[in-house]
Amino acid sequence: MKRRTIIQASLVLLLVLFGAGLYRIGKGFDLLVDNKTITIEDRTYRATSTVRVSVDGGEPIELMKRDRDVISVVGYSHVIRVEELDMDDEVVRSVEKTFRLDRNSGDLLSIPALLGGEEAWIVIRNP
Amino acid sequence: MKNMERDAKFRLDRFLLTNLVPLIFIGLSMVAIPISQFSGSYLVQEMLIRLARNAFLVLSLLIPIIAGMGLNFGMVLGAMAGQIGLILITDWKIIGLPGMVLAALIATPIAMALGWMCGVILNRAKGREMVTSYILGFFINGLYQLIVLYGFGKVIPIRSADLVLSRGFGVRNAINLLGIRNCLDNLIPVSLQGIRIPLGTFLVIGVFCLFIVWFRRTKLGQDMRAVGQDMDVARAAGIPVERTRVVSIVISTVLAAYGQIIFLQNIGTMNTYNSHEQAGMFAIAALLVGGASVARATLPNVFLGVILFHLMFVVSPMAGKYLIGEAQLGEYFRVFVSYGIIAVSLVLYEWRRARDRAYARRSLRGGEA
Repeated sequence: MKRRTIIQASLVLLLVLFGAGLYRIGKGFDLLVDNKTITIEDRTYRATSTVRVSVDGGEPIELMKRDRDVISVVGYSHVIRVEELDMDDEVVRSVEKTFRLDRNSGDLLSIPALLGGEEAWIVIRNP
Repeated sequence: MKNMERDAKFRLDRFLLTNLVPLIFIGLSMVAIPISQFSGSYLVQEMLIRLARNAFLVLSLLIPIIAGMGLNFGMVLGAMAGQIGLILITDWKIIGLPGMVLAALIATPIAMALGWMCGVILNRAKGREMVTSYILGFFINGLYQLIVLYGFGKVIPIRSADLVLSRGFGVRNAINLLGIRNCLDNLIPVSLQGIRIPLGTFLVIGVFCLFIVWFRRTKLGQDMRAVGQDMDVARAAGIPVERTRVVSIVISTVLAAYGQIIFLQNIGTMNTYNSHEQAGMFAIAALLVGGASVARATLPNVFLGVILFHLMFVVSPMAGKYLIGEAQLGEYFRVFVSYGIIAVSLVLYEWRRARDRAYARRSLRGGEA
């Protein structure tokens, strides 16, 4: 009887762990990719040019100055690639960065802040 | 000689009675398909999608029939459990197949508890299982509505503004399941001459069919068959009749929860307060259309039933439009047929049973007609 209880409890625990694993693998985030001028802790990062942004090698989106768009990602760890474009749509500069998301991280990816080298380029959106 | 003639007539009558419903549907389809003017490839595509969408739900009805508990109208309990899982994963934003599996994982204990409760109640209503489970569905629907309308947001935290009603608690009427839409259907993308085949779902259905074939041969499966044939004899043989019946309903309810999740991932939206209500009725109607009865249902009955039933779903509105000038009439006909077929099948089953008994009595008396 005791052995049976232990096996049943282990199975339940295994299923709970499996559920937690599924949660981590499948957790999705809607992120705002923002190409607007932003001020973070008294430092202002200006949006100067059109950028092409792709996350995890997905479909790239083009954002003109003062533009923003939504992208959906699955999982906690991602790679963002930002390409600054000139007037002829030629790539001037390319930046690639790995970032992690969690429950408390923001959902606004500020491209000017990222290109300006700001550490806190993922910000919590103002309601 | 007279006896042989009578046996042959009885066999023919029996065949016609057993297969009357599928024969009626085949006849209706043969008339309605040309009138509807749908192309063959369109109908094949529709049938494949609908087979993937509904087959699992219909298959979940087989085990209680083996156990002699008739058509499990209580499968809506499982459907509700599946929907609670879907509401939670939508709120947590779990995407794709992991989201679908997590919804199934959440639904499992809820469906087990509801199935156990249903089984215990049905054990107290032996011989009236179908009507009891039907009414039980309404009762649990009330509880479900209470939880979803007042529990979610107040007791169970819901963070997504897309889900919660503007008053701050209760779930909205329609939920967009975009995160898991077609995730199983498109798991293995296969297309044959422009016809998309939801292979992922068919694989799951195939595994379920193998499970049912295997399950029938297990000790529990044999016990269920014995209980289904005669409860008193099964009890005398040492089979725990009540427990076996409860287990059959628990399995059916859990599988119905999975079936509803598969159904809704195919549809892509969930009607929070109504999606489950039709699940039982349509699944049972499809099974009966396939030639199953209250006491006997096989895997071919499931697939034939889903195809014939949904063929009528697709073609009847269009056939109505071309025939009478109004698609709505075809739609009324379809609804009339869906509910009517359950009544016809139940009447035919009782009639056939009475005939079989009369035939057996006559045979015992020495062959006098």
